Amino acid sequence: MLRYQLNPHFLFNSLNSIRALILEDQTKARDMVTELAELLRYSLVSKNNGDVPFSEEITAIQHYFAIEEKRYEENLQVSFEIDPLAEEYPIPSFLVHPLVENAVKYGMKTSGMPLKIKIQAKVKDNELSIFVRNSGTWLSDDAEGRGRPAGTGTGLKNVRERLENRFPGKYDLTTSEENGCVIIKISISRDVEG
Amino acid sequence: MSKIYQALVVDDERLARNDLRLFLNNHKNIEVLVKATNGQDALDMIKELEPDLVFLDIQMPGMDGFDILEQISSDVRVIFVTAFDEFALPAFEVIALDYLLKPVSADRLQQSIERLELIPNDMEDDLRELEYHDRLLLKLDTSLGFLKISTIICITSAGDYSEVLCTNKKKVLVHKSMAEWETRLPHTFFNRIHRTTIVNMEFVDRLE
Repeated sequence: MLRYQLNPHFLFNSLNSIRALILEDQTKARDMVTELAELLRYSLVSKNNGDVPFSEEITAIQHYFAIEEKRYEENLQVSFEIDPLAEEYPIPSFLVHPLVENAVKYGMKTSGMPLKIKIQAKVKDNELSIFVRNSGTWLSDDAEGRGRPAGTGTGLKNVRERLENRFPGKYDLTTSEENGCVIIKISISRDVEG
Repeated sequence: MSKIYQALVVDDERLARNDLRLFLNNHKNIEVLVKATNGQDALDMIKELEPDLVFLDIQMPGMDGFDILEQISSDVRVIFVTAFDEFALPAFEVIALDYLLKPVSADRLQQSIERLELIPNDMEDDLRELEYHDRLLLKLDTSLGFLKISTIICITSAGDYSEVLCTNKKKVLVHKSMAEWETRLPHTFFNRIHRTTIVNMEFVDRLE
């Protein structure tokens, strides 16, 4: 199984932001160090194949966004809408995180500013649905026929592989575009004995 | 006293711009003119203000650093500043004066600025003349790739772009004019046989 690693670009950019904040807003700089430490800890503690309650994944994503919002300032707006019923749901750690990173990476390329990202989770009929929306556009593989795929698709592929391993036949992963948003949806149906 | 260089700092993140500005304040021969927040902004400012030097972030909304580089005059020196290291290739010197990684260190920035004096402009002009065995670092859609000059079979014009046919049978669309190709390619090999076509004579079998 692939173990998620924190993206080195993210790490270096965070350090760069912290260095600038140290002189201008020490409280923000200190908060950012704490958030980065929490995120690093989550990435170190989480084991291969290890499930965590969905709420822990969300907490890690909140730390991630707290950092990115300080970095991008008015250019990034993030919102969460998490059904309390979703919180206990076991999922492999860092399952959703790559989708969130992609939302920032490709959203920043394709969206007007500010980039808006929304993370949603719902539970209905023992099915957990997770939505990651960003206000960008889907980068098609062959824009203008210039030969190279715009997004490599490895992020999505890895998420799919992890879902297939952990929830064979009981998951769905879809991508769509509507109302000026790119939407990635994961749904997982849970065994009744769960 | 050495020349004063007028510089433009281009980065979509305010904090990153301030951080670099702080370091540049220690360099008396660098005068930071303005700071641009996105690619289009940067391009407009470069055209209007004609700075000597641009510190250019690669990843930005809309137009990225490579898009900008393709569209500005080669008289402007460019130093890339980015946290992304996958582009850090020896050949970057073909197109950029230097390549700094964030967070930038004061010593490394010092070296970059010294390069301004070490590499005079006329040498940059020499760099623009390509050799047959050169590799050209080009933007191919959203990523960078190398184009070996010796693998070019022919080039045809396509509006503002040109289409390059290579020995691997792939065609790539490049943001370069026929005139630019004509000046830069080695003339022993490349011939502009038509307003819209340049061919590599190495791949010509016969003439009819």
